[in-house]
Amino acid sequence: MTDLDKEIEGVLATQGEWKGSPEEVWQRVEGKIRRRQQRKKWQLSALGASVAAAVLVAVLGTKGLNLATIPNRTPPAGTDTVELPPVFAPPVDDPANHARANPLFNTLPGFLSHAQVVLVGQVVSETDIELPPTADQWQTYYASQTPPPPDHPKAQGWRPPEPPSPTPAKVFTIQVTEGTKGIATGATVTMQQLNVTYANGGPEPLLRLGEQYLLFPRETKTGSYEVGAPYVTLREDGRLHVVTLSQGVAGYLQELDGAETAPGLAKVRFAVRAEAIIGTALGKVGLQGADGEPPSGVPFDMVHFPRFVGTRSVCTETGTGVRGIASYESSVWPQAAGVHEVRLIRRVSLAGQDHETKWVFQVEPDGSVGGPVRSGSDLSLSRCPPRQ
Amino acid sequence: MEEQALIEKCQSGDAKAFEPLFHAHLQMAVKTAYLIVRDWSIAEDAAQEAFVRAFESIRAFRLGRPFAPWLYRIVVNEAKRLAAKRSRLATTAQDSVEVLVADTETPEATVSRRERRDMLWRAILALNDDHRVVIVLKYFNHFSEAEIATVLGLPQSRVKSRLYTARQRLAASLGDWKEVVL
Repeated sequence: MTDLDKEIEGVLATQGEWKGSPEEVWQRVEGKIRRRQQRKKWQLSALGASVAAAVLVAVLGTKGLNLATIPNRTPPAGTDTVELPPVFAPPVDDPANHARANPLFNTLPGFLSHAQVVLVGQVVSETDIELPPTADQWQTYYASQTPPPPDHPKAQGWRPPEPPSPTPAKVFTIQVTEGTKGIATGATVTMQQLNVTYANGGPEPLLRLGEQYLLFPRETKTGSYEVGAPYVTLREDGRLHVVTLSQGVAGYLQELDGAETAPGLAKVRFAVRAEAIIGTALGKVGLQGADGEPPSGVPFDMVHFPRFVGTRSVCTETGTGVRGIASYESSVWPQAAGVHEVRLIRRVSLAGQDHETKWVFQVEPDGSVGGPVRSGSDLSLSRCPPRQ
Repeated sequence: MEEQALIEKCQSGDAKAFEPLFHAHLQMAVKTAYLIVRDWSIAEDAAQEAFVRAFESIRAFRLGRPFAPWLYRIVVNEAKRLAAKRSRLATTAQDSVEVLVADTETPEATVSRRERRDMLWRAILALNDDHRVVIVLKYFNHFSEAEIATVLGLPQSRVKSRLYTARQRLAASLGDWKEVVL
């Protein structure tokens, strides 16, 4: 060992001391382990993948989507692995329209993680309301009351701005028709959509009266629940409460190929977190290159993954594409050592033409097995321009 | 109870058997995470989550293999993930290094040694994440290159290369220091 080695050792060894309480940390670790074990047990016993798939078929069936058959898969005996092979074929090309036309897609990614509670609800009422201008809007209004100086180019013809208008909104009440994890059927979810306008270019209602929707509550750190794209809080009395649907929800899953495993390995249960698909809507980061800019040639709203950490251009058989390495949060439960692969294929509309984007996740079972979130997986994505 | 026996019990779902493993590695895990992310709260969270995940995935652990590299792979990944999540991956060197003062040491020697260590610590912090992590795993955790390769999921040759580069940079930084002092 050289002097430098010794010096480095010395510096690292003397870099502070953790003053936390091992016992407290152990209590938290043990609590988390117990809760997750309970949750896992619940998933397998109360719902089961086959039941979930059946629910999904039923719900999607009511939507009249172009839906491929979803096999009713049963976990292999002795394992808790599940394949999720549904194929979704969205009828609308534009992701934004797609999200509007198929609100289910806002919640399906959440469902796919199927690590949590699954609810089916039916819209039982909808009410048009007007939300008063916000404090920010009023502040902007008052701040713009001062006319420009007389010699300013805009001084001529200047008029004081109009006061802010109320925002049209719609409130949907969704009654839970099927629920799990002790959430009573009959509980209601209130969803609020802002800026609802009709036939004049504005967004149409995301939800429709009488239709059923799949809701995906997700347990948060505080023990409350969020639902898919919207946010829902599950109160202690069992009621799901308060949702604001974001108009920014544009992510959707066009096709999920299912899990692929290396030869000889067990099947992989995998899923995609809602955040991964609708990251923008959740206020996380969209596609962002290492320099803070979207990779060249990729529309910013095309990918909604948190934390895109690097990009580089590559050439593909059909032309130039983009390949990126992203830190991707997904829910992946490799059941055996090895590299697993999950493919997601999306269709996006770019310049009026469809493109398929295929993402390949190389998932290394480095210890995140069973966890609801893992990170660090390399995400490769490539996009090809339209064939000439 | 022997580590491997505890792991075997954990693999059958016995969370209690995990407790001795937890206590045996906690301090080191937190400190490792801290050296990577430079934030004690993130480090503690990372270690905590890493142990949860380690237990959940312990069935994937192959008995007979060393446990520490397997565990620290999770710790390192968690530390990086949380640091990225909180955008708190510190790269600035604010802290001074504590230096134990020997009774026989002159004040000048103490100051000189402290300056040198400060400079080395700043140089370690100035390394990019990849290089800093291998330095931490090598000189704090005392992992072999093969074990570091396991922890990071990299070929050993790349670990060797990163270590070499990192050491070169650290040596260069100390070279600067010598010039200044002399």
